[in-house]
Amino acid sequence: MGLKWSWAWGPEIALVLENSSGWDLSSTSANNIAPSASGGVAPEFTYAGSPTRYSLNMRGSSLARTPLGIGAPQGWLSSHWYLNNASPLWGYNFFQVTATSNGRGIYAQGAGGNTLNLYVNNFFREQTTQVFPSQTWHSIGIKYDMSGTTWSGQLWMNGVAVTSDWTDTGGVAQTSCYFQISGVINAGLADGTFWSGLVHYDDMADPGSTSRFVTRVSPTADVSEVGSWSPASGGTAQTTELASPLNTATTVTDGTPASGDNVVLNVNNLGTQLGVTPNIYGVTAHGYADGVGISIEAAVGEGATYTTGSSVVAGAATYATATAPTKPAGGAWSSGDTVLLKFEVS
Amino acid sequence: MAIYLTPGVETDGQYDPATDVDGTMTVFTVPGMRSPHCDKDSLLFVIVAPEGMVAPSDWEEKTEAEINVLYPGTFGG
Repeated sequence: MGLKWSWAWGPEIALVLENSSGWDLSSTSANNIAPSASGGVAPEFTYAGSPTRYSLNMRGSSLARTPLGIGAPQGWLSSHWYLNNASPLWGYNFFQVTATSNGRGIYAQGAGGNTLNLYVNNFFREQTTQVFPSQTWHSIGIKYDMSGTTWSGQLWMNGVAVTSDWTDTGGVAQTSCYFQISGVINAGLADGTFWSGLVHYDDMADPGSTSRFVTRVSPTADVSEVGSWSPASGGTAQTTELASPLNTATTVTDGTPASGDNVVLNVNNLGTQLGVTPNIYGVTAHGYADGVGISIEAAVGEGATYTTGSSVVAGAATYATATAPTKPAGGAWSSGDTVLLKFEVS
Repeated sequence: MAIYLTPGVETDGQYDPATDVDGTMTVFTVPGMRSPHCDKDSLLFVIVAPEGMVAPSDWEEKTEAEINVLYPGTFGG
């Protein structure tokens, strides 16, 4: 119940996202997908005081897919897009919740006159009467359920339901899903589609229609380690290596990994890092590891208590994540909280 | 509210209502158009048209009762 996963874009280029982050991109060309700052013109969905942030700039012919299985079989997928061109929307399926087992989806498609079509289990269901002009930010949310054989989907735009809540009885019950985004027209990146971060809730009663910022923060200090890690804990050696952005040249290594070996970092005072006195609806940790014969897991903690994500078998650039919608010991996150980030051999 | 039973097309696993003009299938949707049912086997869509929509000539107008005979529970269920 609550935030299941979130993602804030960083300065990583498409090739890094493809090779080292668990994302799968249909193109790694910087002409097709790029972080906003390299696009020349950079609309950002942001707030006064925010740390440096990025959006992902995409052509309509390019597709970005989240790590597989990251989504719950029901809930919400939410984000924001900005088309940096006066063109009306093209007919791309640009915002999609996709079933893990068969690739069928619940998705939004650009339609005539800057309207949108909604598909449920790949069947056309409704074209909106509302229009969504270019060169402004739009929040978008899909409320979905593919947990049973009757799937449902509803499209929300800018906080308002713009379709009915449709069903299809021919679905295959899912235990997980993943998400896909693309540009809304096929123009060069100077005229591309900019995406803010992604928010995923695992309950249809969650506030997925409400616009939220997703802000990336880096760890600020080393806390502890179990095992023998290089660089060793102390000062901010591990923090320096593991800080954003993702860079496979900066890592910490355990040459003899054993179950329970871990590294713990912290993010000191969320409000300070976020640059505002925020309402915080969850914290997601993202970690990546290379390894053979081990599993890894990520955890988000506060005090001495953690919310731990799924254990995954390590390979090359294996992604592990954990999300704590509330403090692991209970209660809402608050501005002055210090968050613990733990990455562990499991 | 006008209701139609219309032909559809399947493209790469996606199903859309379509018109057939001289053998050329063209996806046809307009703002406010809704589809409460698609018969995947026969490639037929049940379409609820928005006010004022001019339907393609090959679309067959139906009543709710007629649709419910074909596809029970589509309306009023």
